[in-house]
Amino acid sequence: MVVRAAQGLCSSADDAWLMTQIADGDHGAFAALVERYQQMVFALAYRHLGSRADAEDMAQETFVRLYQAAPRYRQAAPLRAYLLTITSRLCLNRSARAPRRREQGVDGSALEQFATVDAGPEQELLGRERALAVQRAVLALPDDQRLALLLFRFEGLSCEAVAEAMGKSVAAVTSLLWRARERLGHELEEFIGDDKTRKVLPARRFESLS
Amino acid sequence: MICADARARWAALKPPDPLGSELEAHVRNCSSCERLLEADRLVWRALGEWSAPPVSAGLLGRMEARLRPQPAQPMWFALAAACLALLGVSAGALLGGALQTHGSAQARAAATPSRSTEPSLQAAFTRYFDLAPARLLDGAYAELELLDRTP
Repeated sequence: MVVRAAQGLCSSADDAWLMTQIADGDHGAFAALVERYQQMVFALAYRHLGSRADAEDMAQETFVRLYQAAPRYRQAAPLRAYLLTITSRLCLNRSARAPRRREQGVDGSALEQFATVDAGPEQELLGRERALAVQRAVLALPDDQRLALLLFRFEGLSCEAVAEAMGKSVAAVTSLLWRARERLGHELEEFIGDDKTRKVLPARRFESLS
Repeated sequence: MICADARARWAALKPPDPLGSELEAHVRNCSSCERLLEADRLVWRALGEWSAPPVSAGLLGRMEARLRPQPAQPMWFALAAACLALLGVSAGALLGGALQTHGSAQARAAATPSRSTEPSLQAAFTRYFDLAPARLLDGAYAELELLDRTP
């Protein structure tokens, strides 16, 4: 298979061109497109499902569908929005089928992402505890609230774009967002805020993490 | 402005977006909303600390392996499969009228792919992609394959 996609194309270029190349069977173009979007797709799935393995499954499924659909891609359609939409729907399907996994919380790899390199031991402890609390609270949200929040907060989508991705009305999305944010505010009351208002963490909580 | 309106308006904002004069005035005079909004600001900030881990390096390779065409089966394998299929059809034909009619009707119903298994995904798909042209077999197979891939 001739590889025609240039490395480093990612800047301004054009997803439509890559999709045309993929439709012609150019695996290099597929690799370039995956390279461009895989972290975005994976991160959304990871935050939604709380598991690296499940998130990689979702990313794989999303890109395989994209590859198979390439011959019929409409050039005017924004590919990023399509990928977020498909990932969202696949995540909702997956979490509806496996709710128990979500309740188990995030897998260990997530905590590493919060480790504060320059912080002292106490600060690091607080940071890890807060990180875990945030992840648990987000994962405990109802599926649609969680997805709306992730798309809005991490993917930078507007309410309208979130509504488009989730197949809901803008009013419904606004309501989901508010309920999610309000609930997180209650759930995380003791973990967030400045040092004066935050409660002192019991040591046993940290012991359970290590 | 009532609290519900204030919260709906706030939900569409991303800190530190400006509140706007109306919302700001409401929050100044409503301690309940003020508390909620302060908590929301802190939640927003805490969420910002959550970065996802990097995707594993082998993801593309696994996808490419999945998309690689499978090698063709040898001729003897195809012949054996055809013979088995023929035997199956013959045996089915011997089973008799009423039972066969009833059974095949049920089987047809069960084998019909249900487009309702993933309606929202299908709807999303058709927003971004053209449907397969009518009577174009490979397009139709691609559509069916998408449906079949639904786990």
